[in-house]
Amino acid sequence: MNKTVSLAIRNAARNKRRSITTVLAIAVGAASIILFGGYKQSMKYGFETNIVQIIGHLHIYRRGFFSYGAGNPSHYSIDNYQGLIDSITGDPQLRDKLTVTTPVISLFGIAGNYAKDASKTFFGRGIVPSDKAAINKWNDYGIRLYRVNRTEITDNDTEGGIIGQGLARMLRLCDELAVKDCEVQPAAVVKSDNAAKEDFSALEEPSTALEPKGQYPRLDLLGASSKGAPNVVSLFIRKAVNQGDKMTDENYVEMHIDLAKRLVFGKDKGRVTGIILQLKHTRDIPFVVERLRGRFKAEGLDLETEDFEQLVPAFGQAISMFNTIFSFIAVVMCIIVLFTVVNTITMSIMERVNEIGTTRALGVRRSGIVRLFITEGALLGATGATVGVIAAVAAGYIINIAGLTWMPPFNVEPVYITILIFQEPWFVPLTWGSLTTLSIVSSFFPARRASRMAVVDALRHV
Amino acid sequence: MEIAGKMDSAVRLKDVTRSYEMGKVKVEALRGVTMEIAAGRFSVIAGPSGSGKTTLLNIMGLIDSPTGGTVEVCGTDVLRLNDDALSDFRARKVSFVFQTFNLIPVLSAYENVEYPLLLAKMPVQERKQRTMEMLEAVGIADFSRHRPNELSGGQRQRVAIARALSKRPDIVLADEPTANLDSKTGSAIIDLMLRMQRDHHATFIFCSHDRQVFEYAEELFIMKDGLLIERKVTT
Repeated sequence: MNKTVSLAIRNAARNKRRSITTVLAIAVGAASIILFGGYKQSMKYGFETNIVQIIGHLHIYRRGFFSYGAGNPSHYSIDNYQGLIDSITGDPQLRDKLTVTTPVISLFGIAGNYAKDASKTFFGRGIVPSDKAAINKWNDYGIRLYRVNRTEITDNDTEGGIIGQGLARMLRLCDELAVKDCEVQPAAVVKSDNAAKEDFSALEEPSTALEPKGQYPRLDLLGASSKGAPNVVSLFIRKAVNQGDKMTDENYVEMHIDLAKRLVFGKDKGRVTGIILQLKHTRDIPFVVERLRGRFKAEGLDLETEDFEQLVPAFGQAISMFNTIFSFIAVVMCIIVLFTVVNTITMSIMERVNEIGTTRALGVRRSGIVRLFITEGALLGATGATVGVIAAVAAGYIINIAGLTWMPPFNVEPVYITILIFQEPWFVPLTWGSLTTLSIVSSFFPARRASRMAVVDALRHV
Repeated sequence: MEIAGKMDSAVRLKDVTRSYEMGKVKVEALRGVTMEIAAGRFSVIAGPSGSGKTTLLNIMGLIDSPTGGTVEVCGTDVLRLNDDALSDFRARKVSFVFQTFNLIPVLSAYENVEYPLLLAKMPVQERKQRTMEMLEAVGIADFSRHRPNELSGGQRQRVAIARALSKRPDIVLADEPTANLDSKTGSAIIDLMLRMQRDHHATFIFCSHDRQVFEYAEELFIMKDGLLIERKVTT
């Protein structure tokens, strides 16, 4: 073993208590950074998985839909969507990167429950149930999830759908949909007004059942057709599902895409408002976007793409928040490590002034003295960081198997508290390397001061 | 005062002065010392405490710088050397034997003796052989694995002597090497150093106020109040 390293090890072992305290301080710093970093990563990948399981990775829209389509979805629709889907899924460069390519219709209107004289504006979307089920299965990072399947309707159930629990409450469907903790609206507020019911009924399609189909309650949805005329369809509600945040929960309706087409496009069944793409891996987004842009341009299609981060800005905001907290914790830990190592090395130098003088008298250069104390700092840093990594891995394993959960903002189900230490392969080596480097840097200044002591003064030191 | 003649000299000083600031007081430790120490001799610098002999020894050993004058060690004007060059010079040509032994406490006797050879980048096999030779020469081979705190004062000083001579230096500087030893051990150490000096043909410069040491000196320099007042050649 190199003599400097050997000397550093022996010198560190000289004052065991001090060295162990320093190593533990660095270990606590390393473990804290790794554990919170692992938690931050689990939040990032958990959020991402959650979002991608609902809305996919990419949406293709008619240009302008993202900014103006919510006010007029039919105007910003995509014609011959099936041809476009076939073209995308048949692209040899894209084929292997896609898991699901499915149409979607975004829509809004008024939902009415005639039986109880209740109505409410809504927004929602029409989906292909089997595709939604496939989208729900995406879990590229192997995240431990509370929920697996969010689909309540099937491809054959062309008149079925779900609504938010808040919307169910407002439409007075708590009992029918077995919504828990659903307050009954005070009687004084409810007033009978059959005029709306009569107006609404006049718009219904003759083929739609007027009474609840089986045991499911019926909603009549009023929307504007692509030609601007009012249109009505009946939706049979399979379930009221909490949508997480109050606004969405009180407005959301999800239905079979065929029903949505009937409401928005009438008999024109070749149009949708968007196409959802789900990829095998999130990292493929830039490639797929570039490829699609190239194709749209070449084929003269007035289409654009939006990825899930653009569609859900809260994702980036949440990640930014966690990054800020992580940075704060990391900086505090680094400051603690820095001062601990500076203190330890300074104490070590104070105790060995005479020895420094002796080695200098023997012919060791100033750089040799610096090297010796830096090696001691590096040794303490590397040992502490290694102990910290081991402790963090052990603690992370225990937390992961403990099955602890919490309810994040806007979530419907709780999420597991998970520590993903090795999800980013560079994270642990970077933390280890940073703390070791910090220990080296912390040692440098006292070591430099030690090396500049006058030899004769150092030898006189008692 | 007699000045050394023109012979092969290990150390040559001319008008060397050294003053310190101690608070507001200026202390003149050396007030113009001119001397020449012949190579390969056993020389002693003697004088009472505060006479400047240790300061003189430190300047000869390149661990202190004079305020004025010129210093030539082994034919080199050492005042022209920068710190790294001085370190390298010490590593090759100068060794110390300290009053308090100054062994490195975390190293064994063997490793302490080996240390200067590591600095000299000696090949491993030669280094091992030289180290064991030196430990045997000073009669401490059986204690080679012991650390300094496991050795007696005499044994430590033997290790220090072995360390000083292991690299075959041109000059060995010893600052009161027997002061912390009883008289019997001190005599043994001086005998050992004389023997080593003869065997290795190094220049030994002793600094002492112990009259027992003077008897062994081939050259005796007497210092007083920062001045060299007398030189005696006893050969």
